[in-house]
Amino acid sequence: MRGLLGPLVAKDARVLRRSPLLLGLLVVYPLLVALLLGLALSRGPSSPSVLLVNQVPEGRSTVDLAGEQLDARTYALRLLEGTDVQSVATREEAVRRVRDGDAAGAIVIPPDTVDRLRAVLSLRGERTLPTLEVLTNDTDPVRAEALRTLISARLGDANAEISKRLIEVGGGYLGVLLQGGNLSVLGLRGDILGLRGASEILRRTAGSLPAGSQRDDVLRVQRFAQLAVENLGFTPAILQSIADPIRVKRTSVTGPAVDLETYAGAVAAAVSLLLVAVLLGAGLVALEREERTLGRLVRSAVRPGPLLAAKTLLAGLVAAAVGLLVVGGLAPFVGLPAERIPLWVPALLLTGAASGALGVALGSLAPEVRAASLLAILLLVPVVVIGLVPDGTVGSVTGVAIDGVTAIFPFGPGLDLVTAALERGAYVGPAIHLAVLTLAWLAIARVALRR
Amino acid sequence: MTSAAEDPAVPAAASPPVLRATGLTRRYRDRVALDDVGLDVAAGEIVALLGPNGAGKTTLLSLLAGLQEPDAGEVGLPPRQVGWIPQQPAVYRRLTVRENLELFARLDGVPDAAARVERMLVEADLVDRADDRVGDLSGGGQQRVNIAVGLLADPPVVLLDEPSSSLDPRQRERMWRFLTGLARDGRALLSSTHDVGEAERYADRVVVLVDGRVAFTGTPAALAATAGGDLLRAFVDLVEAGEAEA
Repeated sequence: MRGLLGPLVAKDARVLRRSPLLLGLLVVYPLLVALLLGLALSRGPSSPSVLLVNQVPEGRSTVDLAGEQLDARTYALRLLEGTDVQSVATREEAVRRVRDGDAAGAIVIPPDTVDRLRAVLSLRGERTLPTLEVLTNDTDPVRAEALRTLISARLGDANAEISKRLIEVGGGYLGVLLQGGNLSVLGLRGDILGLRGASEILRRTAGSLPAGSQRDDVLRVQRFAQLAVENLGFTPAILQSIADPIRVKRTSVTGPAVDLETYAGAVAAAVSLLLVAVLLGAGLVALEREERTLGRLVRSAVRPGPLLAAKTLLAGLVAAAVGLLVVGGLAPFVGLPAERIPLWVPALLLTGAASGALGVALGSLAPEVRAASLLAILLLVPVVVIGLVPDGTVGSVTGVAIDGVTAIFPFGPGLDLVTAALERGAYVGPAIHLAVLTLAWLAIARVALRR
Repeated sequence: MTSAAEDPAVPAAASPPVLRATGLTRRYRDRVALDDVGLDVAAGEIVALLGPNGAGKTTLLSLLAGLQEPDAGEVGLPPRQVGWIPQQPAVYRRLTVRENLELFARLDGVPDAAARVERMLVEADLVDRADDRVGDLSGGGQQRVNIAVGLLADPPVVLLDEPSSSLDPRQRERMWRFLTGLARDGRALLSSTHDVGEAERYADRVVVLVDGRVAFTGTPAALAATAGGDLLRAFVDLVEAGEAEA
């Protein structure tokens, strides 16, 4: 029986070689889909185009912040980090272009921004805060929301930075008030005595006074000054903690994440493998029905089990070759570690075999090649989409259903295994899972072929 | 053999049967496709299996070929010794004639496969087209490949399911010349057909199936005699009578 596998595989390979259109569809289409999917996954959302309208008069756009010159335009640009910024002259032009969809949004710096910022930084209790205007085109809710979220996050960062600088300035002033020294702000200029110096003078003065009410008064003022020195000394540290009250320490409980580009490569390889193997496996079995040769084969010495195994083998081999092509093609760009290359082939072969067995089962159900291909595509699209849903992003019932679907089709474990082969992750578990799936789908194909 | 009508003057077969089936019954859910059918075919004999659509001809051939299992009854010859030639060519259209023959010879375990392939190419008049893809041949050419594949294992019995249905008259004539040659060489042939004229011209005996039962078995002349020598009229009368009875 084993000697018959060779002629069967050779026959199928010969039939495939003489069907260039079919072969092209089966190999080129999955490759294109996989590469596009990988490309989409490896890149974040593209930078939105944002317009900047600076209405602050020329030469008046800077403000002194503790000796550092802060430019309002630089501040605005900081809000727009991660976007493609273009300057425009007027607010009207910005409104028109945002409304026309030329840009995702615009940020307008009003003429009084710097004056207001300067007033705030003078620490005179100025309450009229500088306000930037953000224009968005809300006809595309996703893009508008993305831009709002981006600007909010950047605004938080920029405000936190200014607050920190203000606290540093305030802390400096407080230090001079405590210790004494030169001060040139808050309307004061020249040498400042400081509370510590005042306390010392008062202590000495009290020592030279005779006992009595005057000496008691001086001592009382001196104790107050000493108390202020001792307690206000902690204030800069307290203010510093307010400037940066919460810090984040990130700990991964699952080990370090796989590099996004590597993951995209694994997805591209797994998708192409799945599509090629399933379409090929399904097509090879359905072709036997279409050519009416199935009856003739099962009347000969060929038993259905080895017949299906031969088709699974060929589908798996071709798919693994396509997967190797995808991974090998991506390797120089993604920078895959060379020492893991020996793990690639077993991972691709196992994923190909399980996917080929699934295809063979679908082909056993279909009356001819077109029906088999349609059935395969209809099944694979949701399987791939479901397989890419991240854990924990859906409710518990849906999550259990997704886990169940992922477990019975080869895409999920195949993606895990290919990812592990390319960079890191569990290797043996998914490998065993795929081997079990191969046998299970072959058994289903055997039953389906009896119809 | 179970039959509703038989010509007693003609023996079922001149020599001992090489294919004998008894009590064959096959059901598809509630429908009885074959009901207690028996059949003998002798070496060198051509038997035409006649019947209207749905009478059970293809089911009977499938049971005899081992493609399906009967619900009851027995076939006295293992499927490997029965050559099966389906109605539509069951060969790979993208492979050449020779590649098809070589593949099936190997899968059938034919001894000295290369010599057998060459012989079948000659017998089926396919030598000139041996390296052409089957898909490039005419309907008649494809049917000859189909028959050649069915004969690769040199079976003593050959089953043919409406072998001439897709052929033009000239191709039919060539095919039947080939088949009668096989019978002269001692093979037993059982061929289903809708063409009563073909049965009259080439068959030694006819078996008429109506509604899953054997309605007649005997020579074509004996069947024709039941309607004043008109075989077609006799066949139609038999079918209508059988259907009325059912």
